[in-house]
This record gives sequence, C-alpha cells and structure tokens, in this order.
Amino acid sequence: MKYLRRTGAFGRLLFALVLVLALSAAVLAQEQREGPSEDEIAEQVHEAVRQAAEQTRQFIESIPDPSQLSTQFLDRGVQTGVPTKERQFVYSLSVWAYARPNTSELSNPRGEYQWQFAGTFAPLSVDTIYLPANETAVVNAQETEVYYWPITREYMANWFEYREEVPGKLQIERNGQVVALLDRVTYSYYYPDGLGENGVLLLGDEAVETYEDYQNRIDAFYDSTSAYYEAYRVWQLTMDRILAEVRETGQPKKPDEIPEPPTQPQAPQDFAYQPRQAFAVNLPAGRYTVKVIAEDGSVVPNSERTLQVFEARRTGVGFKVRPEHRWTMPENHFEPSTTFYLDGTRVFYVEPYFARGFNYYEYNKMTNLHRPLEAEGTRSRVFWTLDKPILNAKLQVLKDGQVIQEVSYQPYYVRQTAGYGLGYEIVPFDPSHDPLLEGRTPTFYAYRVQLEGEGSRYQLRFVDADGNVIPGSLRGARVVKRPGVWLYAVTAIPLSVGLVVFGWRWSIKRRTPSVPTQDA
Amino acid sequence: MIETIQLTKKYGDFTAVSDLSLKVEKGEIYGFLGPNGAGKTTTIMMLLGILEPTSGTVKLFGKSVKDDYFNIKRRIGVLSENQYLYEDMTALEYLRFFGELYRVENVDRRISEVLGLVNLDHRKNELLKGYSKGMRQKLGLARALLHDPDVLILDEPVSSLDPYGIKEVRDILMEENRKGKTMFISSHILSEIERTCHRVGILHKGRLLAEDTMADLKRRLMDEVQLYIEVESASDELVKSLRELPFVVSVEANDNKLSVKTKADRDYRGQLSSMITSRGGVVVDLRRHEMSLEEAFVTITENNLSLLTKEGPAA
Amino acid sequence: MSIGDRVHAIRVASKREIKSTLYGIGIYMTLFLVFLGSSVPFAATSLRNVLTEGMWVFVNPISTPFYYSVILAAMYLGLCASLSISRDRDLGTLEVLFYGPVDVVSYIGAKFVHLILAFIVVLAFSVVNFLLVSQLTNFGFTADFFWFLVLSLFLMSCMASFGILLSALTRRMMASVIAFLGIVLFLLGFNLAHAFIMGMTAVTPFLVYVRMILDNMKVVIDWISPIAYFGRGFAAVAARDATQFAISIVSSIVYSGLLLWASVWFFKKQGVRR
Repeated sequence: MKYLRRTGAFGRLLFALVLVLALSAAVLAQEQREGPSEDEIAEQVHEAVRQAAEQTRQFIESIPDPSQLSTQFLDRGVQTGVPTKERQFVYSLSVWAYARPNTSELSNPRGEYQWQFAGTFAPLSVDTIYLPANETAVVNAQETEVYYWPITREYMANWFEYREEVPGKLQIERNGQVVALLDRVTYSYYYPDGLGENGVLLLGDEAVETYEDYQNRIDAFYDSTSAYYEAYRVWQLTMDRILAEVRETGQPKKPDEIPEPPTQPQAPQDFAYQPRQAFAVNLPAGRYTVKVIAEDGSVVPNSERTLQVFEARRTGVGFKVRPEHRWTMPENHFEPSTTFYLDGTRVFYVEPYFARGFNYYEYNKMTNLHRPLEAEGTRSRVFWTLDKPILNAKLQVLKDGQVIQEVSYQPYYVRQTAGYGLGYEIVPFDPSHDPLLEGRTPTFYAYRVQLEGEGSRYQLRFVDADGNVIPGSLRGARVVKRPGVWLYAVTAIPLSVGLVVFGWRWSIKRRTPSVPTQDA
Repeated sequence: MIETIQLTKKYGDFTAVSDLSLKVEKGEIYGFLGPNGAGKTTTIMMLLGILEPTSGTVKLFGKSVKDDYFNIKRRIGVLSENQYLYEDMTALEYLRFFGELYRVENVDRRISEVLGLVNLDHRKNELLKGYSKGMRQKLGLARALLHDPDVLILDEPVSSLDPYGIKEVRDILMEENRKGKTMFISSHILSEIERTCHRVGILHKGRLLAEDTMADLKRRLMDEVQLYIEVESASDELVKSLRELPFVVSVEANDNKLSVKTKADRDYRGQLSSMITSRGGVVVDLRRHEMSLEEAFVTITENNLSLLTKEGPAA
Repeated sequence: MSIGDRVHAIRVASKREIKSTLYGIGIYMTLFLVFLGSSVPFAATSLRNVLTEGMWVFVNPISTPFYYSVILAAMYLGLCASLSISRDRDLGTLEVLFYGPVDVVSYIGAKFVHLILAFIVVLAFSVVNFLLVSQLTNFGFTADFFWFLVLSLFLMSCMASFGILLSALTRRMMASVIAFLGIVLFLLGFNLAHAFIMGMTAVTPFLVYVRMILDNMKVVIDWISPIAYFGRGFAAVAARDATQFAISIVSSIVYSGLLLWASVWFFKKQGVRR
C-alpha cells in the first residue's frame, strides 16, 4: 500500500488493471480445467444467441415513436406547448394608480405613465399584496384557472373560461387582532370627463344611482339620436321639396321659409362602468393579514395573505418639462437634485405638479402581482407619482442668489409656420393681441423659461401666492460649456505628477559617487 | 542569551534539525558550522521565530519569542546570507525605515555612525538598485547594528567581501563583542570562525556533532600529534632509538630535522627531549603542529564521529 | 503582544509602502488611463446629449464617470494587493521584515493600510480631475458625490482585503496575478451571462432551470465579489437610502475583517521564507 501511495493515480490505475486481468485469467483457467462438453457448449451458444435476440427486440420496442413525442411532453406538463392550467384561489385587485397601461391605447400610444384604475391578481405563489394607504382599493376573492406564461414571464388568469366568486367576508388582522371584517359592496368606476385620467371610485348606492343615471342618459341619447335621425330625414325631405319648388318656380325662398336642420344630440361626456360587487379596502399604513371567512366561519383555503399597506415616503414637486424644440415630448423630473443642462440659449416650458415618492418595489408590485420578476432589485429606489398641477404659483429664476425673472402660468399655442418647410412656433395664447388665435383654444398651459450665457448657473423655484417657496420645487439649471480638448488634457495631470516624481527618483540613481569605493 | 532545548524540525519524513540543544552565553561569540543542508539556516530561522519548530524550545534572553515578541526582536540584530533590499530606496531611506521600525533614538546620528563603520557613508543617497554585492552585505550589517542589539545573529557575514572588507567586518564584530554583544555566527569560512569565535558548534545532517572551544575541539579530534624536532646532528642510532619508544608512531629524518608523530593521549615533548639529550644529541628546536579547524571540520564530518562521543579520547 | 507595538509596526511599514507606490509610475499611469477612459464616454454621452438635444436633465452627471473611475482604480489597487505579499516573498524582502519587530498581524495590517492610503491618493486625484471637468463643462456635483467619496473608502477595503487574501494564498507573483485576473474575469463574465440570460424572451424549460441556478449563484457571488460591494454602495448613494448606505458600510467592514483574518491564517501556513 505504501508503494501504491507513491505511484500516483496512473500507477494505481495500472495496478487495478493488472489485478483485473489476473483475476480474469484465474477464472478462465479454472473454467478451462472444469470445461464443458461440446454438446453443452453448443447449447450455451444457442441460449446466448436467443437471449441477445430477445434483448435487441426489447430495445427496439423501447425507442419512442417520434410522432408521439409532443403528446408525451404535454402529458408530462412540460411548458413547451400548452401551459398547465390550475384552478386556484386568487385575489383580484383594482387600485387608482400612476401606472403604464397594460395595453396600448390611442390616447397613450407611447404607453406613458398616467393615472388609471390598474388591476392585477395575486395567484397562489404570491404571499404579499400591496395597497396604498388611506385610499380605497377594490379587492375581490375569486377562483379561476391560473397558468404561467414563460414568454412574458407572468401568470395569466383564464377569466373568460372559468371565474367563480368565492363567497364570504374579508377579514383583516393586524398583530393578531381583527381590525376589519368586510362584506362585499357595490362599486363602480365613473369618469366625469370621459375615459381618461379623472376616474372616481363610487361605492354603494352612489355607484348604483350614478350608473342608473348614466344609463338613463345613454338611453335618452339613443332615443334622441333616433328622433334626430327621424327629424333629419323629415328635414331632408322638406329641403328636397323646397329645392324642387325653387327649381320649378325659379323663385328663391326666404330665409325664414327654410327650416333649420335638427340639432344632433350630444352624447354624454361622462362614463360609468356597470356596478359590481367586491370588497372595498381602505387602511392606514402598516402590515396586515387578510383572509376570507366562509359562511360557516372557517377560513377559505389558500386565502391567507400578507397585506402591506404603504404610504408615500417623500413629497415634492415634479416638473413636466417641454423643451421648445421638442414640445411634443415632455419629460417628467421629480428628484430635487435634478439639474437642467442647456446648450446655449434655450427656452423650455415647465408644468409643475405636486408629487409623492413611494418605495419603487411596493408601488410597482401593487399593480404587478402577477409578474414575479417585476420590480425586482428596486427596494431602495423611489417611485414618483405626479399628482395635482400647481396652478396659483409663480416661477422664479435666480442667479447668484438673486431673482432675475418671475414667470406666471400662461396659456400657449403651437402654430405651424407658413411655407414649405416643416416647423412650428410657440406663441402666447392671447387672442386679443393675435386675431389669428380667435376661436382657438390654447395648446397647453405652462411657465416659460429662457436661459442663456455659456457657463451660467441658475436656480428655478416656485413660490405661492404669498411668496413662500413651495417645498421641493427648487431645481438647478446650467448652460454647459464646450471644453474641447481640455477635457482630455486634464486627465494628464496625474501622469505629469508621476513623471516629475519618477524623474526625481531616476536622477538619484544616476548620481555618481564622490569617493571611489573599495568593495568586492 | 540563546538557548535551544531538544530543538527539532521535520518536513514530513525529512528531519532538518534533530534534537538540537545548545547554549550561548552572554558576551560569547559562537560559531555555527556545517556543510550545505546541515540545518544551520533552519536553526537560525527557528531562533528568530520565523519557523515553527516541530518540537523543542527556543529561548532568547531566557524567554520564549512568543512571550515577548516585539521586545525580544528589538534586541536582536540579524544579518542573513543574502541581502534582499528595497531597491527603490536609498541607503539612508532604508536605514531610516528600519531605524523607525526599531524605534532607534537619534536615528540620523546613529545611521551616520553605522554607515561610517561599514564605510558607506558617501554612498548613502544612492538607490540600492546600484549597490554591488559587497555593498549590500555591508549595508545589511549596518542594518543589523543600527538599533544596537544585544545579540547578533549572522549568517555568512563575510561572504561576498574582499579580504579588505573581511578584515573590516571582523574588526567591527570584535569591537562590538568587546562592548558586550553576544554573537551567533554561521559560516563556511573556517578561518574566520577560528579567528573570531570562542566556541564552535558543528552541525551535520541536522545533528549537533560537537560543541566546544576551539582548542578542546581540535585536541579531541587529533589521535596523533605531529612534532618537528631540529637537532644539532641526527645519527641513525638516534633515529632508531626514537622509533623504539612506545609512544612514537613514526619518525622521518631529513638531515638534522626530524618529523616525529606521537600518540595524542599526552604531551610527550619532555620525554623526547630527555631521550635525545641522553643519547648525546642537542635539541635546537621543538615545535608542535596545530590542526586547523578546516582539518578538524573535514575530520568530523567524514570519519571520526567516535572521537566526538562522550567516551572519546581524553584531551 | 502589545497593541502599541503592532500599531507602530503598521504605521512604519505602511509609510514605506505608500512611499514606494508614490515613487513609482504605475499609479499615475493608471489614473491617467482611467480618467481618460471615463472622459471619453462622458463626452460621448452626457456632454453630447446636451449639445445634440439642446437640453438634457441629469441628477448626477459627474457621478457615473467618477464611479467608474473609482472602481477601475480600485481594481488596479486590488491587483497590487494581490501581488503585495507574493512580491515581497519573491524578492526576499519579506524575511528581512520578520527579523525585526514585525509579526503577521502587523504585516498584513500594514499592507491593508497602505492600500487604503493609496486609494485616498486616488480619491484626491479624482476629486481634482472631476472638479476641473466640472469647471470646464459646467456640469455640477450633488451631495451624492461626497457621500460616495466617503463610502468608497469602505468599499475599497473590500477590494484590498480580497487582494491581500489572494496574495496570502499564492506563493509566487505570477500565480497571484493569474488568480486575481481569473477571478475578476469570472465575476464580470458571470454578471454578463446572468444579465444576458435574464433578458432572453424566448424561454425553454432548460433555460428556466439555468435562470434559477444563475439567480441563486448571483445571490452568493454578490456577497463574495468585492466588485458587487461597489455596485451596492453606488446604488445606495444614488437612491439616497440611508439604511442601505449603513448596510454597505457595515457589510464592508465585516467582509474586510473576515478576509483579513483569513489572510493572517493562510500567511502563517505559507510561512515567511521564499
């Protein structure tokens, strides 16, 4: 064994091989001495061939039929084709949120953030639900078919094929104490200005009444539209008769003889969704537990989840900025440390909004529970929402601490420039001074800022009617300089220092001795 | 000052140092001899606490290095066989660095002193990259002396030096010893060991074969003594009579000069002188040949191990 | 052993080391290349965006090139750290130190302090460079810049201790260089592969498993890789998250302490001799 240790792996392998060969030889020798007769040998060979043939047949039969492969995969539930659907208890949620729309809309082709009723659902794999504090959100307990769609990496609910409401009450606990036991209520979404950013959640009788009123007005609109079309037909006939008379007689009719066309009825501008039943949840910030209590008092299986109710961590002022040269692409800037960098003389238009900063992860998970990877790694980031616009304020421009400009909120109009070239100009909307603007409406309202002077530094801030600075509204603005090659030249400073030091040390090396030495 | 008790160092199956027990007294210059691979440097490394012994104890100033690491290290100066220097420093910077490390007081004055001792003061502002081997050796010695240690451990202190440099270094070491420094010198240059050391230890294959004063060591190793006798006239009869003496091993005559080998168990010069006189001869000169350390060294490591055991021939 | 003696040895030895670093051309050349390397993309992106678009909004335009300069310089110092012990051992100067009142702890400590001092020099040059860039372009700083300056010292301690550990593990300079570069390339390659695979849209079951494995590996690697500490620290400063900032500092201290302790242990195993 001592020698084996010294020989290494190859030596050991060789030894093992020799050992096997020796053993085999010994066995063979043994068999040779006891060897079978010729008949016995023939019988053994025949048996061996028969067994080999049988094994080959079995092997061939075990090879799977390629045409059955896809079925086999499906049978095993592998998600290369149809995903596996599973009936699950889910919470569906709808909350008024500042989010990107899930589908593209004509009114929002670039999918920009906007206020909307955003919905999501929490499948079984989601153990925490997120809701905003002190705002009513709609939560429902349902059973549906859930499957994971790997291409978009999200869970999908097969609402259309299977959707069953889970009866019971929603129990909310905090620190083991029940803080609410909710019944389902009637709710509806109502948009007083039409589908867009001004939605309202209505509950209870108000929801029903608003919807009924809306429906009545829609019905009345349809009725008046029918009446309009009938009246229009009658008017058309009347006008045809009058025109025929004029052609026959050659006599024009007096204006008062010509009937006015019927007025087309205006459709209701508002919009109301059909009321439904769900739980309306409105809680202060904190960590809760939710579960559905069935009619018999038991907890509905798989209904217990953690509920994280969060509130804004910061407040501030968000700037929606439209540079004059690309006014159709406004940008939102929330961070107080944001600075506007300008090249030369630039004009831009600012629309300020009150803004709130939330934890990025919590806010985005609120409407994306069905997307497991959404917002991962963002727990330390801030998500800003644009709230109400700041209207009754003035924008101050400061330089070296002194106010050099004060700007009011003004309407502006974007006018196409005349001629063949494409272009536009933004002008103050003042029909009294510009007759071309008669009958038009302003394109947008904003605060106009013009800054100039290469290398200049400014500050922008909003003050209210009393002259107080609105917190969070301070921003920096700088006009950049063109550094040219100096930007690269400064990088040589460490090299210059190094060359000086290196040269000094090198000169020491080259110093000659003052007295010859007598050493080895 | 330096004591090892059954010091052993093993690397796997190989024993570099075996059961080494030695003691160096205060003010002593102890020479440590041995061929390449004997274990000298390993022993020195263990003395310094750089190598951990497999077994045994090392004591410096009566204490284990681990017990008072920094204070003990501050009292030792070490000169290794090869000098590895910080080549981007000048000699002055180099010594200032070690001076600060050892907390030397008036370090600049002290640096001037030691550089003056080794005759490198005029080269102190040059980068060490340009130093010759001999200059490096001297600088190493300067570094070892800088903090005025109580013990100097020197491994081949005069290698790489010319005869002038060797004498310089020897004088420095003797002077430092006169000031009370204890020295532990490992060297191959046997003549230097012979000249400087009070006691010598001889290491071979990790074992301490001999440890004694120079005189006693040589005496222990000689089983014969060579005497040179010059007589007024040497007759054949005289030579024959000398050969017949029981303690005489051999006699060679060259005119009136006789080369007589006697046994080493005692001093037979008086008997020889009496015998020559009784035969009518006149002894003009009688000298004894002293075995050099080199001869003794070769003798030890090749053949006469038995001469070094406790039951060996008496001095 | 006296703490005062150790501190003294660390102070003296690290002073020698920093002088050696400052007398060489390496650190200056590295800074030049690093600043040049950060100025080019800075000019090509931030500055060009403003000059092309006429208006651009930044929170911290100088922070990103500064961050990359710092991390590249830190990697250079990390390479120096990985060579620190093996170089001394190869050159023979290690043994000479241990003749004197220097023990393993003070030796490792001196190496560490030297690297931190070298990094402070790097920061000083960086501040000068980017102040000048700011003056030349009128791009501004925010408080984040200075918070990152402070935090980067702790982050550098991770890189330094990582390099010192590698140096303590390897006996020769070549082995140290190969180990450091190999590990850094692996970490960078892993991050690239992780980002690429996570970004793939066409997913097969095999890829799902690969993603799971990579994700789990990333969790571990993010706590082992010194580069990841820089990333976390920068994110904490950018997000102005005081909790994450504090966690960055504490985790850096713990990481550095563990690796330095391991360095001492391995160094004792390797010994002082060539």
